[in-house]
Order: sequence, then structure tokens, then C-alpha cells
Amino acid sequence: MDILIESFMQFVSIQVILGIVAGVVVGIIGGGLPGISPSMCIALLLPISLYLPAPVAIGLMMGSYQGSMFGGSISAILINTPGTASAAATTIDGYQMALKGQSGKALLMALYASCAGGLIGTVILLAMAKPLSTIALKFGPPEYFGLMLLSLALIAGISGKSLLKGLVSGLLGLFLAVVGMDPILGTRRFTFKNINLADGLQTLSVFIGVFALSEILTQLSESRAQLYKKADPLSVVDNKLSFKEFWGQRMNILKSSIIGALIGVLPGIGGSTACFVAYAEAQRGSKHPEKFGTGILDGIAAPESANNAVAGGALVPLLTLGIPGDVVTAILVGALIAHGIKPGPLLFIEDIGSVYTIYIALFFAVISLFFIGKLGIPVFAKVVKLRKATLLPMIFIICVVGTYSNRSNIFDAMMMIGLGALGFILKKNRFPIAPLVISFVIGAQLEMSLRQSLILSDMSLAIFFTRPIALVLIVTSVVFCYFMVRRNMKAPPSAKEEN
Amino acid sequence: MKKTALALVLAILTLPALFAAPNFPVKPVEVVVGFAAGGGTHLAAELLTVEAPKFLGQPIQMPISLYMDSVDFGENDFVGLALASDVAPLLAVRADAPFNSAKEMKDWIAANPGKFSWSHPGVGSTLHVLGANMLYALGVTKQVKEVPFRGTNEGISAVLGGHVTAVSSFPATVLEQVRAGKMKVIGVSAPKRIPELPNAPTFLEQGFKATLTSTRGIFAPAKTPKDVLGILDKAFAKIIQSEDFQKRAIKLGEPAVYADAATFNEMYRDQLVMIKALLKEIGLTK
Repeated sequence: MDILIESFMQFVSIQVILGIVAGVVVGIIGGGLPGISPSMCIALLLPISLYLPAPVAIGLMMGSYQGSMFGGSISAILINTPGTASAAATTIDGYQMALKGQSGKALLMALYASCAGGLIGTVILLAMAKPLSTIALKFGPPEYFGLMLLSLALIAGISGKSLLKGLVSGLLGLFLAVVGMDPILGTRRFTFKNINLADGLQTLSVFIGVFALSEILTQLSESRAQLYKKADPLSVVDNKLSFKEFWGQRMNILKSSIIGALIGVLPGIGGSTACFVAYAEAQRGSKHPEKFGTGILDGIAAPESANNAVAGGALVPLLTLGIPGDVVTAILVGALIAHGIKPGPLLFIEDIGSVYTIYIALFFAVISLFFIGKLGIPVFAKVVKLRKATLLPMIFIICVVGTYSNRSNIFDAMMMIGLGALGFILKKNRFPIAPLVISFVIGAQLEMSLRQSLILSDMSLAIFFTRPIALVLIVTSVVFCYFMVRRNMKAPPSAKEEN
Repeated sequence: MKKTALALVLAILTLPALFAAPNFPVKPVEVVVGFAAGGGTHLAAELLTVEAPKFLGQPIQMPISLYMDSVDFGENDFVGLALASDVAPLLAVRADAPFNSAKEMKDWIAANPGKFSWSHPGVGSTLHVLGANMLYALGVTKQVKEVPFRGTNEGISAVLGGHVTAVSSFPATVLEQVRAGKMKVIGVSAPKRIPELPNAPTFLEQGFKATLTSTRGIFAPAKTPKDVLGILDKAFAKIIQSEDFQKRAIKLGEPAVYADAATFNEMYRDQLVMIKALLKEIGLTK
């Protein structure tokens, strides 16, 4: 207890608080800018943090971790461009809300859900780090495969009535995920001897092309008068989020945060998967699943609480086992070691003070995120007041710069444009594009764990049915698909159009 | 893939077209890093830049976005200039594995066909080749399953969870696991024991001939004039052996080990022969 108080007292200092606030601000900005991922934010802060005292450095890192997880939702909601991979699921409903003139409401929901998710993630880390790390180790390749299958099952949910079109879109996504290096044999597939494709298609190029650029093209293809029209002042009236609306999401947020934290615990699975699973679960549990994808609060609350809860979860294996849970925590390892903190199985025994410092930093980061987000949202929301003729070229520039800056490679920007055209054609022919993005994100890990499992089992499929966790996950995916498809088929034909 | 499989070729020095020997270098010297920015090789190469102006008279520049794969080259296109680091790989298993030494492991594999699996961070990666070499020395290559994971950390968690038997790793990544008694080292592939894990036996002292380590070094185009090579040889000797370089290298977890151009080239030639035979044996090349 003394150590806890001692660690807490470190944070009652202006330097530490400034560090956290600076981290959150950098995180929100970086997260909001497509092309700067949460891991890049932390990597940029790493050299600075080496010159700071440990609590300040940890505060800075945790602040930017939480900030960037929320920041990604800003561009997802306002301009249909997920700022981070974790915000991809938020795009589905967030942008629809912005189109309805509810961007302020959507942003507030994203912020509250992020903060709540961050807090719940921290509490889970605090209370259950040890037992969770034991469970995480039980996840081998077959279990990972089951989990990926469950995320893929979401396609059945969001495809609505046109299941076949959803499946076509999903298969396209899986195909795009195959491009690049074979995960087991190391040979190149569909790269056409082009070195730029050796690492596969860049996630960012796919996200931005398929979501943002295809949307720009769609809007351009509509009437010219629309583009020059002044933004309708009436359309931004519904910008408040009442407490009742927030409270209505409490179970959704709680459930999604737990999903986020649990998936975060598993090494190698990022925030985007957590968000898709949370989204799928929210839709499954909802009384009105057919409204998902049309711009409803549930569709924002679920992924946004999940991705902030991932932070707490991803720290579990790092602190208890010394194994980073995601890309951000992998960079964090370097920073911690430089400050004399050795993440590993002995950390809890030898250096509990540092563990508490990290917990408390994470907690304060969530609190600062709340206040800074509140201040920032009215500013961000102004974007929707711009005329389309001004806004669309700006978004296009962000798209190009974002995809280019990721690897400083112009090929990625070209790829984004090509994928944007693909997304546009799909949209025009009423194919849903979210399945493409989901299966692209899931594809690589799905294939990796499938083939790892088959190597271990000497090509016998029994490995998926003889291990309890894997079996439960696989059965759940199948059951989920069945119910979603049945429900979608029964839904009144006008349900989609009404909203 | 085949090119990167050579655990040896790490940083390459390309020189400005003008070889005005006595005044060399008159322009910044360009170093090409053949691996991803931010990775171990890139960081090791960054260390060279700090004291380059002092000892070389010109700064070192690194166009990091260049992919080594995009140029076609062979083993004879380059000559070694200096060895900069040397890290020993090891084979580690879960602490409760039913064997404690390389010999016991070999016997266990023979007695339990199809049960032993090992992980490495990708086909053709340094740790794949080095791990395959350790198992080759044990003579069990044909009896084990090889499961690539994305990164050594994922491999370690698969070993801790009992999904995979062993992991090919560098010492720094498993150090904390071994210290906590969660994992044990079956053998280190090095001529002698390493300072980080003084209790871990080498394969050599257990009677198996696996001593291949991961080395990083600097190379120059083979056509570089002799006197320019001489200038660079002397400059890198001073840079790598400087106190500052040593201090930074230790911080990176890769204590600097220096060898001059002549020794390094000899090493390079020896390892080429060894690795070629090995790649053929483990089926990476024909």
C-alpha cells in the first residue's frame, strides 16, 4: 500500500501532469492524422522521453497511447478516413452520423466511450493482470484462428439483406490480404516482381482508399450544385449528447471494453480486430441490429470503448510476461528498459513500484483525455461547416500525404488511389465495402494461424475441434452467422432505407 | 529471400563515383542499410554515424528507404571492411520441458516422433538460419516441425503456452524469462559461453558443432581502389573501437566486436561456404 501511495504522489507534480497532457495532445493530433499511427506517435516521443524522469516519460507515453486511440475516430467520423487502424470500425457508423448532421454528437460519444473504455481497461489491468496472462498463454495458433473466424463472421451481420454481395466484398478483402510475402514459406505472391508489394498492401492504403477516396469519388459523381452549396446550418443542430443517450450505451460500453481488454491481452492482435469483434457483439446483442451501419450511437460506442480498453489489455502480457501485446507496447519496452524498468515475469516481484506508476499514468491519461477532448471537439466539428468544394480537395490531399508518409513511398499513395477506384465501383454497384476492409485486416492473421495450426497437427483438421477454446470460438462464429443471416432475411425490406 | 538469408550481409557501403584517392573522402560517405528502418541493423548502422566526422573527415549518410532487394548483386560484388558486432543465438524451451541438455533433447526427439516443434521469426530470417543450424548440428532437422511466428516475442509466448517446444532467439529477448525460471536454455551457438547467460552451456561444449553467430559488418563495392579501402579500414577501426561507440552499442544490447578488413573478409568467406551448405541442407536453396 505504501508503494502505491508513493507511486501516486509522483503524479502530484506539474511536470508529470504536463507530460501526460502533452502526450494526450500529441496522441489526438497524430491519431487524427491518417498516416501517423499510435505506434508512430510513441516512436516519435521515444527519443524525447529518454531525457525525462521516469514518471514524466511514462505519463507522456500513456497519454499519447490513449490520445491516439481516440484521435483516430475524429477523422473517421468527420471525413470517413480512419486516422488509425483501430478506428476503422468507427468509420462505419460515425461517418453516417456526420452525414446526418450529428458529427458533434458522434464525436462526443466517441470521446465518452474512449474514456470509459480506457478506465475499464485500466481497472481490468489492475485487478486481473496475473490470471489474464495465464489465459493469454493458452491461446495458440488454433485459438487465434477461432478468434479471427469470429471477427470474420461480422461480415454476415453488416452485409444486411445482400449477403451474397457482402461475401463477394469479403472475398476481395481476403484476396488483397494474400498479396505479399507468404507467411510460412516466405515466397512472394501476386507481387508481379514489384518490390513495393513485397510487404503486401499497406493497411493504410486499403483503409484510406476504400473508405475515404471512394467517398470523395461518390460525392463528386453526384450533382455539381451539391458541391458548392453552403453547408446546411440546420443539419448541424443535433450536436449534443444527452446523459440519457450516453447512459443508454452503458451495457454496450462495458461489454465492448471487456472485449477490447481481453483481445488486447493476446499478443499480436491489434486494436482493429478488437473493434470489429466489439462491433459484431454490439450488433448481435442489439434490439435493432438492422440499424447498424446507418449512423447510430451503438456503432460508435462499441469500437471506441474497445480500442481504448485495448491499451490496458496490451499492457497485461508486457508487465506480467515481458511480452508486448501490440506494436505500441513493443516500442514501449525500449522506453521502459532505458529507464531501468525491466518488463518480464519478475517485474511484479522486484519492482512493483514501476508497475503502479504505469497503472496510475494510464489512469491520469484517461482523465486528461476527457478534458482535452471536450475542449477540442467544438473545434474539430467545424470541419462539417465547410463547403464540399473546399473540403473534398483537402481530404484528398490528406489521403495522399497520409499514405505517402507512412513509408515515404509514393507507390502506397498510388495504390490508395487504385483501391479508391475499386471502392467506388463497388459502392456504385451496391456492394458493401466494410466486409472488404474487415477481411483484409483479419486475413493475414487468419491465414498465419490456420497454417501454423496445420503444421502442428500434421495437416489434420482435428486440432480445431479437440481444443476447447478453439472449438467454442469456432462454434460461436457459426452460430453468430446463422442468426445474423436469419435476422437480416426477416427484417422488413424498408428497414435500411428508413434510416 | 535468398539474399537476405545470408545472415552476414548487413550494411553496405557505396562510394561516390570519384575515387580521388589521397583526399578521400571529399564528400559524405553513403551507407546503405539492407533492412527495415528502425530494425536492429539500421540502429547498429546509426551508431557509426556519430563519430564518423571525427575519424573519417566526412559525415556518413544513410538513405534508409533503399531496398537491398531492388538491386541485383552477388557475393563477389562486395569486400568486407569491418566487423561491428557479433551476437550468439540460442535455443530455449519451457522450464518444465522433459530434457535439460542438447543430448537429452536429441534423444527425446528421437523417442517422440512428430512432437518437437520450434519457432523462428520468418523464413530466411537470421534466426531461422541460425536455429536451423543448431538443429542441423544435433542431426534432428528431419524430425522437427518448423513454425514461423511474427517476431520472436510471439514465438516465446507460444513456447510459454506449450504450443511450440522451442524458440530460436537472441539472448536479450529471452533473458528475463530465463532469469524468472520460466524458460531454460538448451544451448548457445557460439565458440564460448556468453556474458549475459554465464550458466547456459554452448552446443560446442556439449559436443555438437554449432557455433554460427549473427554478425553485422560494413562492406564496400569490390571495385573500390585499394588505397580507398585502406583509408576506410583505418577509419572504421577507430570508430568501432572508440569508447563512445562501445557505450552506445552496449545500450543497444549488442556489444561491439571489432575485426579489421582482412580478418573480417576471411570470416565472411568461411561463413559463406558454411551457410551455403546449410541453406541447401535445410531446403532454402537448391
